[in-house]
Amino acid sequence: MKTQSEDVEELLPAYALGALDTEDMIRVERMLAEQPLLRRELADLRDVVGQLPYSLAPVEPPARARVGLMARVAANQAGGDTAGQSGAKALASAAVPRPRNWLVPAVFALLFALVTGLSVLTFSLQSNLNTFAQTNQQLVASVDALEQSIASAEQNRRVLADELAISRSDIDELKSQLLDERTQLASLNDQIAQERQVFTFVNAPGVATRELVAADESAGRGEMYMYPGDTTAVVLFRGLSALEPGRVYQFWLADGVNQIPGATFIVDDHGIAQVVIEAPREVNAFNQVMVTVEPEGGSTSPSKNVVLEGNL
Amino acid sequence: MISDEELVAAVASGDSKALEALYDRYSRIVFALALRMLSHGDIAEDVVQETFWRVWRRANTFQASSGTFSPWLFGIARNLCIDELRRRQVRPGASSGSNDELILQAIPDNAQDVEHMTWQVERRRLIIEALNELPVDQREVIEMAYFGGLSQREIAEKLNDPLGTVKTRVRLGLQKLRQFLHIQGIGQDDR
Repeated sequence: MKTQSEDVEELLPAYALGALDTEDMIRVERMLAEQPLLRRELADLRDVVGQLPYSLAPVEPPARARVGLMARVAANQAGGDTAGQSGAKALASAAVPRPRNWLVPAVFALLFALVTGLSVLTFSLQSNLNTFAQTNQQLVASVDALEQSIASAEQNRRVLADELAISRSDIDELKSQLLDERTQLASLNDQIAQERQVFTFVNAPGVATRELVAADESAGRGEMYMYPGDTTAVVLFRGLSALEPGRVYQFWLADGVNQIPGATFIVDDHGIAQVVIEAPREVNAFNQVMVTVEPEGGSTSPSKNVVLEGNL
Repeated sequence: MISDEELVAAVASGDSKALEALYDRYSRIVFALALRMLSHGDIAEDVVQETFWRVWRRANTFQASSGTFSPWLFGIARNLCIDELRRRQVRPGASSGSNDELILQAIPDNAQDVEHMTWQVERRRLIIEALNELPVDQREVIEMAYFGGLSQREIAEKLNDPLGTVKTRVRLGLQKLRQFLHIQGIGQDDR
């Protein structure tokens, strides 16, 4: 079995020829760094390889190659050669310019490539620009549509706010109306209850009736319904005139000594009214009743303006 | 005659005349090598100029203790050719080209030192003779590796031979070549 050194030694000829693959080359160089004997062997092989070009017939290069070289050297000595200082420039750009039969086509090819590249670049940029413009237009249209939607929504909001305000006003009005109607309904219920009470009262068995009349019969009349020994009585009026504002009718009970003020009332459009009388004691204890016209709120003593009167 | 190493030292100190002397001494071989590898006159000319430009720029990195000048110089030229081949992704043909212009340029330059030219011709004859002593398959892989810039693996693929076989041919071929050249007195001190 070969040692690593022997193995590398076998690779040295190919290494000297520059014919090794990268992997083998690394192995050889590693061993060369460690073994002076191998380095001497390599130097010997390189001398042999260095003889190979001499197997070729020498060929004189064109004189311009020498002129170009020395011009570069002169420029370098003068410090003016910047291209050579990189040390790794491309071979194609190394030589001093000289006439060549391929130079013109090469320049044209380069220019063509440049123009083609610029055209492609321009086309690409134009395409991108068009795309951006379209996108921008779409965005502007979207923004316009959005603004219109916002304006429409704002308008709808205002309309709804107005409608809501109107609805609230309507609701308040309806509530007020409902409250009035409830009050009116309550009043009507009270009135119905009162009329039922009056109806029951005037139709009850044993009820006594007395009439209240005016000196002038055209001024109207009243019928009083009462029970002996009871403090409550009901009086139905009809044909009474409507009074001017601030004036009311007032009912009075008299027992020959005192005149007791009773309820005040007004009549409807037909001159009709019904009044429930609550007397301080049984009604049949009084011997006379009458109706006068008094200021609104009633009086404690009757005026001289007696409209109706009657005896109990 | 001033040695190569003395001229390189002068170049390293900024002596352009020394560079011109090296150019006169080696530009023909470098050009021939580039023509052989690239088969293209204009690019081979560029290789020549760039090779000596690098000598000018890197002369101070040359270490005489590690070897003689010419292998270092040819190594620079060969690497430039390989870079060019890889850049073009084109491999050269087996022949050295059939350009008539190149044949005309191969006519020896009368301005050269007669003794030097005579020695060059003789050395070329001896090296060709040494190469001809090699078995054909060994000579073939050495030429494909050196002048074609191919690795052993690429040679094996191109010849459709096992990689191990190619490795053996390269190793044996170069060892035999060394023996032949030593026998014929071609060595590191020759020029």
